[in-house]
Amino acid sequence: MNLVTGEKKMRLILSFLMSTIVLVYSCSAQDDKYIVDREAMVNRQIEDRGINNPATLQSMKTVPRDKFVPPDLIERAYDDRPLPIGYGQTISQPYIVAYMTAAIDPDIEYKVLEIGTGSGYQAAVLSEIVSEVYTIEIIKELFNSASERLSRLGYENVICKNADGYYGWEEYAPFDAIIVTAAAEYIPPPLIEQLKEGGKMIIPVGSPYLNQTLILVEKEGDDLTTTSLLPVRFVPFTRGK
Amino acid sequence: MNREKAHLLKLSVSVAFISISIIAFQLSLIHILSIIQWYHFAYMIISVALLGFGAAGTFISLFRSRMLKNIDSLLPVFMLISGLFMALSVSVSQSELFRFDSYKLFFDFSNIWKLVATYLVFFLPFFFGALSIGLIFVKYVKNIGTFYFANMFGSGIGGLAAVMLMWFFMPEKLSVFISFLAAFAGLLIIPRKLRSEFSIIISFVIAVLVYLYINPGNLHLSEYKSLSKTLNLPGSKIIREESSPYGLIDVVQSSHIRYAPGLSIKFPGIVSLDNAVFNNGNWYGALVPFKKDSTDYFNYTTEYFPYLISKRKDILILGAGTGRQIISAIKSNASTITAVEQNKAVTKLLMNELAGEADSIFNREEVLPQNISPRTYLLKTPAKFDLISLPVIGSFGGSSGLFALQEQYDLTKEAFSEMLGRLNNDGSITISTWIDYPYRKPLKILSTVTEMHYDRGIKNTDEFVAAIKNWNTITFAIKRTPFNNEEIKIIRDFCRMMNFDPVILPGIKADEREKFNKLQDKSFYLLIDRILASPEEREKLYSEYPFNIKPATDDKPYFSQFLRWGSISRLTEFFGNQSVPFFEVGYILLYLTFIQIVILALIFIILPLFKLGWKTGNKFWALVYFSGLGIGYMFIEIIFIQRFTLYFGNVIYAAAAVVSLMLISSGFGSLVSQKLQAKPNRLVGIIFIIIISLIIHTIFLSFLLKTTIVFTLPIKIVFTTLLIAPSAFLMGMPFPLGLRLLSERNDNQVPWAWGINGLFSVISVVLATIIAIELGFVWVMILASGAYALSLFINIKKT
Repeated sequence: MNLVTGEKKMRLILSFLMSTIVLVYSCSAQDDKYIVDREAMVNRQIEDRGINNPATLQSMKTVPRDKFVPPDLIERAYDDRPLPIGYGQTISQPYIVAYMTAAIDPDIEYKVLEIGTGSGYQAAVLSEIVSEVYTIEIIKELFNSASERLSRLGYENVICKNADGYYGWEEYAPFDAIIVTAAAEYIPPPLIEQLKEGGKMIIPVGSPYLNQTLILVEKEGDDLTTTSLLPVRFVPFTRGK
Repeated sequence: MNREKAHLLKLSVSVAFISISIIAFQLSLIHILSIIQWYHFAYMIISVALLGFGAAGTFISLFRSRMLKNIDSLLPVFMLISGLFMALSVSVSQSELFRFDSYKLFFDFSNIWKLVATYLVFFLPFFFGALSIGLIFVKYVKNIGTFYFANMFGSGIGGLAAVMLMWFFMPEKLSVFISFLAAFAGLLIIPRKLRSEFSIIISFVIAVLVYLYINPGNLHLSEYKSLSKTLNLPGSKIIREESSPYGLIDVVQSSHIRYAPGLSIKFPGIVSLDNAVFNNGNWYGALVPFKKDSTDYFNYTTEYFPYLISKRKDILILGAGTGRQIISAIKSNASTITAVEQNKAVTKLLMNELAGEADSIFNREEVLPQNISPRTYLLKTPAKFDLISLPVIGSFGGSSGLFALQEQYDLTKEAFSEMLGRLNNDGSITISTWIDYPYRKPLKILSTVTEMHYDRGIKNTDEFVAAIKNWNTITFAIKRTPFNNEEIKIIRDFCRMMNFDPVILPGIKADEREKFNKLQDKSFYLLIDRILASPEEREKLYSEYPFNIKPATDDKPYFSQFLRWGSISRLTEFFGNQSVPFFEVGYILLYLTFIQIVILALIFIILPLFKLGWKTGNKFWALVYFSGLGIGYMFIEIIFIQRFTLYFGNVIYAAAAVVSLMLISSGFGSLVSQKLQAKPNRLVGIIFIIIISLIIHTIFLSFLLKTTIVFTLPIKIVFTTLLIAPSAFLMGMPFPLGLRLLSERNDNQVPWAWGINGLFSVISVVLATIIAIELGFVWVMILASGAYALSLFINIKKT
């Protein structure tokens, strides 16, 4: 009798193990579904266009962009374009995300502030590289969905806040870098205040679906300089003379 | 009055009412679509929808005998259906199934089917309305003069009525209100013997119209419009909404609105704004509370530097908007501030209901509001000023070329010349723009100023112009006299304090241009220097540069049109083919619209030929004659609108007045033509006189308008009537005469010919815009004469 029960138990355990293995495998197979797209995105849209910051490239290969887009747009997650996420906002084109990340020259020690969480994708990309990411989103619905998503996906070093990003996040200032994803006609003075000495701030200028240029702000003592950056796939419009 | 005459009269009245409703509906649709989408998409959708006229002609051609047999019952049905669709079309297009966002077309082409469905939804009211008119024309072609009069007269009234009604009705209710007129047109002509059969249809239509009038539903703006985005901000709400012919004005209260173009990175304070104004869902301006500390940031913007270099007592602000620049002027202790703003509705709000929110700056003693177009004000006023301030050009983040098709008379070479002539000796013109990339707007401003100077005998513009930039804005100051050393020092000190960089300044050194705000593409400075260098160098640059940076002129007043077709391949190489269309979306949409309507028009023209036959009859004559009339008439209408807009200083009223005057005068011409015999030599004579009158207009009109622009409004109205009415009267004759002539030869071709005229009228509106942009308005006038000449020659052949 014991032998029979024992056999039954073994079969049960084996079945359970097999099911678990199959389940885990199918889940990873599901995750793996976009790995190829992700690799292709990084190779063709980012590396081929001259972005070669290793940490940025690795992060872009790791973060599952498909988890940050609306369900009906998953198949387009790795397209070379921004996508709408509702409330008049977008998840930026992968190239722009990579460019902005590389432009701040991220380091593992960095504490970065992001203004405009949106889908949370940029924050997730940063979190793979830097020590802490603080991200602010003014639209409550977007804040709720982004913070839940980031938490669910395990980005524990991303702290979210639902607030007006104009005022930055004084509590955790100063920051090594600030990424402003929401277009602003001027740079809010509180953000300049909260940028560390030697720190970098990056702001995209332009409409998300159209041509964007990027402004890099650097703080050295009392001096603040701005540089209007060209995404490298834009060849400068230099003419003879 | 005998029975037949009574019947004809009733039909005429019905035609008048359906015509009123069709034109009024068209205008209300432009109004609505401009709110929920963007103007150029509205333009595209309506252009296609208007093909309903041509399609009606095709339909009647194909089913003529059956339709004529049942005309008594079909006419009221078509009018009622037209009314029903007018009321339903807006709600249907806003439903979940059909609603599309034109912005999403940029990335998701599957939305295209929704765009096509929208075309169809708006096509139907025009199609059924035109079917009723077309059928009457065909059946009663011998009385075409009378019915055409009713059609034109009604259309003229419809245009005026729509403009007036926009003051009283919110957009979503306006189209439903108009649909009652179409329904009334149908009710009027229900045959007595069919009244009981019609009672169900009538009840149903009326019930639907009443329901929709009471519950029109909300308009769903694109989520990407500025208003939609602002309303997503916490605590934001619309505190006031008003409709006017200038657009739907929304005043939004929000503590998260930020607007301070050209603000220095050194500004330490907080920019606080509480309210903003939107027009048709687009950002219009911020309401800046005029409290000393809240407006201190003005002194930290690039726009402030012209105030530093000289005392400014008399200031002219062109395009005052919501008054932001007025505040700068007040803070600089100006004695008089003339604030010119074309949008009467906004100024009225700011002086009355919103006076509190705007701190009554428009009601201050020193502020003199003028509701007239800026350019017209310049032409009229003899006054001189210490400073003439223009609004910031374009919008932050770019407008994706959505202003490419907009005539901007304030930014032409002639406008800058007039502004310079209105300056006191130490006076300046100041203008700011966002620094776009690829570089376009700043270069075009500079080329305009430089060429204007050159025309006035000033060869060294770099002594008379200063420009400073921050990271996203550049501000120009243009003087009558050269900048002196003291002024140059003030500008340099200001730049140093504010982290701005001088870009153009007498004696400037290269390293000064990028001390604080660097550009990765430094060709900007090279391009500026080339523009300033010499006329030859400038011309060379114009031909080399991939974008059109030649100055806009009064003949081609399209400042924001930059795309050059010849450069497309080079741009594709530099920017990738995904990016290129988005430089100039408006311009691309214009051509896309043209291609769509030409293809559809060809289908509508060719289809009836399968029934009518390809070779027999007067088809070639009909095609050339009626298309020539359609093109000629619409081109002239557009020229008159362009000319009289500046004359009256108000584009809305000028357009409504010109169009209505033309249509009503043409209607009377049509009525008189009923007394004339329809003969080819008569057509030749009338068209010949029309061409002569057009030539006279081409030569003398501009001069006459410039001379009389200073007259008071009543005199100008009389003068306009004298200028337009005689030509328009004559222009109303060839069409009905031609139709009568055709009916004597080939009666079954009448609807086809009418359809051709309708189709070419629609094509002409788009074509005229293309010609005006590419070649200038003079060519529109020349080609209008050419189109009439074609119609004349084809009749000479016939005589």
